[in-house]
Amino acid sequence: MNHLSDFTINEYLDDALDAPARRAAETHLAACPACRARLDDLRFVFVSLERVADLRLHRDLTPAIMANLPRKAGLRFRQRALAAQGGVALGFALWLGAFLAALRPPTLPALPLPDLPTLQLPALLPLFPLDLFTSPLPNVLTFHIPDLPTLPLPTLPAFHPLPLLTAILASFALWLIGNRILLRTLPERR
Amino acid sequence: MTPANDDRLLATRAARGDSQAFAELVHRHQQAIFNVAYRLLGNVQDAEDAVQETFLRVYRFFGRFDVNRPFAPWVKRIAVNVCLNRMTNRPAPRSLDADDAPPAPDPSPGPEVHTIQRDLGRRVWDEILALPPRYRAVIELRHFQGLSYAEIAEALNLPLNTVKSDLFRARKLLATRLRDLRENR
Repeated sequence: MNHLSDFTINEYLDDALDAPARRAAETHLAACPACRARLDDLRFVFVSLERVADLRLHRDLTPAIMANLPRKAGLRFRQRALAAQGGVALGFALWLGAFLAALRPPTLPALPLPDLPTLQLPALLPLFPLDLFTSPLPNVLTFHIPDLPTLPLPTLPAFHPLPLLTAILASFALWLIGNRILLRTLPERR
Repeated sequence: MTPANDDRLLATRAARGDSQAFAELVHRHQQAIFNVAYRLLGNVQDAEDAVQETFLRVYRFFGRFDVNRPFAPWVKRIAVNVCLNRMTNRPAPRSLDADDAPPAPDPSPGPEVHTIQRDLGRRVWDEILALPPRYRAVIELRHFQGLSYAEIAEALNLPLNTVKSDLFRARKLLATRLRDLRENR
């Protein structure tokens, strides 16, 4: 005869077997004294453990426990540290915005190009001493460089700091939310 | 109002920072946590220290607790983990301390029954404390806290089959060691 495994006997006592397995175990236990003896041994353990009495505490531990809870100072320090960080971040954001607003690039004046002087080039000497040819060219070549129009440099548009400040303040608010300052309820601590 | 509802209201207030509510929770549950710790550690001083550490952890991790769930099982689970950490660092004593005798049994039976019950109670305590730490933990969670196999596995972060194996072996050990008591009844 195959005996019940330790697992089966324990699960039987724990009421952890499904209905078919339980019926099979009960059928076997009815016919097997050895498995019944093992079952009784385990039942005795169950009963003994149930009858173990609780011990009473000799003293109330509540005051000692409450006295050892983390102090409020720690919490306040953390809040102050976070507030200081936030203040520094806000101050820097405002300074940066003001600094950028003051940095309007100057409008440069138009720079006219100078008139180039008339260039006079010397006439070429005749190649031959005899005036075999009458040079149709004049003695002096005169070049005139045309006057170029004045080219004004483009002026940059005026810089408005408001959009930049808005972006910086929005980022700061997101930072505060990210640190859960606005949304988190911190427990009161002694 | 049932105790469970009371616990839920107190836990809700404590989670919002009400230290009076937290103190009341400590007062209500310290006895049960002390017994969990004592069954695992076997020493009054160690058990009291474990109770303090348990409630400090409860306070620290209150933000993670779902107040709609029962408070007692959660605290007991923390207590078991606190005690297991202590047990792995130090073996538990073989028997109860001299000052740690179990409380007196029911006075209505005769004196012989007193002796038998006291002896049985003390003997069972001794044998529980003599078990290896992991066996003690599964016995505690199954027989004294009524957790299922799956709940024990979750609490101890062990596979289900390991929990069953530890529990069944622990019971077998206790059955072997208490056999003489059973035969003399």
